[in-house]
Amino acid sequence: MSDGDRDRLPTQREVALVEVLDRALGAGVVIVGDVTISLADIDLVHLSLRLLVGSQPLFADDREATQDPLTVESRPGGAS
Amino acid sequence: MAELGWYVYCVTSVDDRPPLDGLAGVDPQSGRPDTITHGALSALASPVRLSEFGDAALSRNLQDIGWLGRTARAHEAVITQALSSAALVPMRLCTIFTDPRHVEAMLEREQERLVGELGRLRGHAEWSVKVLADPAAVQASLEEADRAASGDDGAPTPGRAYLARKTRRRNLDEAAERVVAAAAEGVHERLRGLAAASTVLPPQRPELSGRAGRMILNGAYLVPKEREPGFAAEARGLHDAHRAQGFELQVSGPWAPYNFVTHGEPAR
Repeated sequence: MSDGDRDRLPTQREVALVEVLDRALGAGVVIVGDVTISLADIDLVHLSLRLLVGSQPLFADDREATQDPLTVESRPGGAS
Repeated sequence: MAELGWYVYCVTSVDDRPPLDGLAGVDPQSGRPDTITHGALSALASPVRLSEFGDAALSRNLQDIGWLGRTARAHEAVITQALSSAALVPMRLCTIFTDPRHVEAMLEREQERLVGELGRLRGHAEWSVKVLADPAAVQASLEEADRAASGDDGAPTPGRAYLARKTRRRNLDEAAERVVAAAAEGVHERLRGLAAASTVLPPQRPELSGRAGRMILNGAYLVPKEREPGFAAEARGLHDAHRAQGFELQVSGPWAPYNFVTHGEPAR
């Protein structure tokens, strides 16, 4: 990404936890290790996330308010 | 001395030596991430206490949102840093072996597939693009267009006016659904054209994402590095083009290609 693009697009430093979990838990290569999260465990995680949401500011700290709705969540170390 | 396991974050080619300095890993007190190498492949792994990451403890800890959040972010931090200088195949969260030799055996067993994936993914990263619709704004923009098109047809009788309003309401609702579907499809098609591969994920629930509006597209795109500026510019253009109709685009990336690796063995 050029510097021009970077200047134009507001960025968020932290990505919401749900984004990370969607990928790290919902995707990625499943190689069966000696210990591996089971599908039942994953279902339980999603269930407990749902129960928690609303009762805690779970994601509030993760995100910075931006004025412009086009939000580019820039991820440190990634873009180069 | 605590019993240890080896937590694997991702696999890279042995020739890529991503810098691991500054990374704490998921269980800092047991040790920091390092490579376990076998043949053409390296696994990035760190020791973890089985009292925290063993079968029974894991099922319990995963229900602890604080633990889960810390672990997921530490997992992602290792992968993000490695991604800046290496092609990698990301492992699902909490893929753990009880002996480093088991990691080597896995690399041996999966070698052909992993080498193939690394070759295919090299020079690419995953980008997330979401489209959110503000239902009220979508309706408002349609109503405005409708008023402009039909003009003011006066009010013949109260009964007729009521029926006309009702018909118009229904037509507007149907039009809104069409506009939403067309926006999601249009954005996906345009971005897909710039990507090496793409996939549409289930929309996130608003209460989980903390985002206002209805998520009408949750797209993931595998974008070659050299096409990233063009991809970002296209997303910006699509955002600007759809904004007046009540839509916004949200872009995040680059991510490790989580959604573009083949799943392989089924989870237990």
